[in-house]
Amino acid sequence: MTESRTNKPASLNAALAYDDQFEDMEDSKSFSFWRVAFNRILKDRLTMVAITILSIILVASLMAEVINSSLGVDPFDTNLLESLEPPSRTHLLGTDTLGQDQFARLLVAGRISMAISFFGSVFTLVIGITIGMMAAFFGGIVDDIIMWVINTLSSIPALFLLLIVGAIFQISPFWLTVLFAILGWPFIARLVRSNVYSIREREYILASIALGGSSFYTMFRHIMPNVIPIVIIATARTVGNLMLAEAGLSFLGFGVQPPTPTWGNMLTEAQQYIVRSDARHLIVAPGVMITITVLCMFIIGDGLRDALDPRLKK
Amino acid sequence: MTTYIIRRILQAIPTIIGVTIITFIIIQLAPGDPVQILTFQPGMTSEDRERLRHELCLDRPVVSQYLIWVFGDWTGECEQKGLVRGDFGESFRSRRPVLQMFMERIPATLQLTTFAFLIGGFIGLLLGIISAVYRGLAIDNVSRFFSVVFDALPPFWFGILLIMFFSVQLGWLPVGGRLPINVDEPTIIDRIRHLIMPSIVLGVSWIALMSRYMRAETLEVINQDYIRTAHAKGLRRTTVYLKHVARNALIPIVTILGPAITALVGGAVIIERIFSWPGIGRMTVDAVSQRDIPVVMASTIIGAILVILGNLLSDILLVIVDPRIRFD
Repeated sequence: MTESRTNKPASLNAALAYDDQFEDMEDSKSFSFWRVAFNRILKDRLTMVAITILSIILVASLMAEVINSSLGVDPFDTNLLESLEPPSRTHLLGTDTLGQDQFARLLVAGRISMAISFFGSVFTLVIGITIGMMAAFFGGIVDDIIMWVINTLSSIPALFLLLIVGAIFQISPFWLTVLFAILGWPFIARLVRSNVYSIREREYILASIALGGSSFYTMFRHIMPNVIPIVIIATARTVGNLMLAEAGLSFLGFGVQPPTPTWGNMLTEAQQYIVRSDARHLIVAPGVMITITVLCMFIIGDGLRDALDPRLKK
Repeated sequence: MTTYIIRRILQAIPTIIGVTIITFIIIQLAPGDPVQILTFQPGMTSEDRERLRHELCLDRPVVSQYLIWVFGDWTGECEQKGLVRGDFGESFRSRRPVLQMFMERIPATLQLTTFAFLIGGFIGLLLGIISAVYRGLAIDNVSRFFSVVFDALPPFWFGILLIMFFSVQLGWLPVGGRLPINVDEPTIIDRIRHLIMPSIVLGVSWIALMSRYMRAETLEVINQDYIRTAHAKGLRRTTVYLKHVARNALIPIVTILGPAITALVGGAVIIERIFSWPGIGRMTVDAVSQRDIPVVMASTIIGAILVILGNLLSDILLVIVDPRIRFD
């Protein structure tokens, strides 16, 4: 190719080089924003490790029954003769005071803890995005009222509200999830609202309106896609925070009640045996699970931020 | 600037009103009649109950009940001075004024949060500066790693681990409480020994937050021209970092003062519970489990007011320490 090119006039060579340039670009041209972000995450080793660990925990929790029955243990099977046993072959992580297998309980608890925080975040997102967009879209008095509600809700320490509601209405895991969303949406709504306001000032929005796009069309076609990445970044952190909140609330005794295990209420039970050296495994294991899971969520959140919005990287 | 400050203070008022409305609604929705709870004894007739209900202004329409609760009773039929005059009612359990109960507990909580604030603030700021100065080196990576781990660490679990290790295993520090129970005249050493673990656990989340912010801010300042000038003048590195860099990097830190107060107020609830610290947090948790509604309402409202004041304070401080910012 290069040989034949040297025989041709210089201008033709230049033209061919110009064509080559476009040939190279053809591959990258088809890469969408999401594809680019996805490739960035694949290259981010720390985030990939976090995703792998989280997936393992998630899959293990979802398959709790299968794993437990293959190990021959049942999370709700009590056996007082085998209480507070140290880790062994039959009981991988030992047993608690009622002789229940801790490993089996951790798996089942993980499913509940994760379900609450994942679905809590999804509900939070749905409410937050809707109300945030509404505030920015309608503006004026609607915006003022929404901002008043947001300011009010976010100035009451969330733990206090959770405590009150948790104590007054004995709540099920489902309602706890809903409650997290009711308390958490102001943060997302505020984020969405301020970003919509700043995006609205950009030239391409003006262009869309100038070309005859209705405000509704402009909102969903041009503004919303630009808000989504910011919201996704915030969500990864929300999942981690909700997991900590659920654990904290259950630990205080106002979250999910035993016998339904969660990582938080398993710690509450374990705390009573703090002075006994044969109950150490009960204190260590659930805490390690919470820390690792939340840590993975935070790392994934940082990874998503770098991938979706490189400008935020410091 | 005065106009800005006054406007910000006025803006806080609707928020406080909103907080009282939300708290009131939740309590109204709660099952159980306060009069029944108060008069849970066989000698009571239903006339007595009605009289008590009237005395407590609980026989009025809901809106009127709310107004009496906030502003006090203007008709003089029931003895309520209202929240605005510091009347949070009487505890259902101890039958004492709630405000008085709070006043007794405030010093303990204040002591704990101040210590946690000092530990977290000092270590956090220092780590942040060191991280930024040695960016990319091992010390930076280690400090960033710990700041993420401490963020993910559930404080109650960390507290239990510390108790397990330092109190149960080694016996160096007391398991909990504010003062030794078997000593009449506790020394300053006793007090500090009781403070160490709770304030570290409460301060740890602070270290994580502060070091992250401080690192980012320091990196921003370090590349400024006046820092290069300071180096060029031949100043010692420590002088440049502590005097020229740190002071400028600290400016935006005041903005996290508000969120930090929220975190401390919430965090104290759990920490006080683990270490049996006799503060507001533990009182609140106890009141919640005993359904002592006046105490719970008071905690919520006082907590919210602290948060609002914290946000207000950080907004005002920012304008004062950074003359470049002008809102009006």
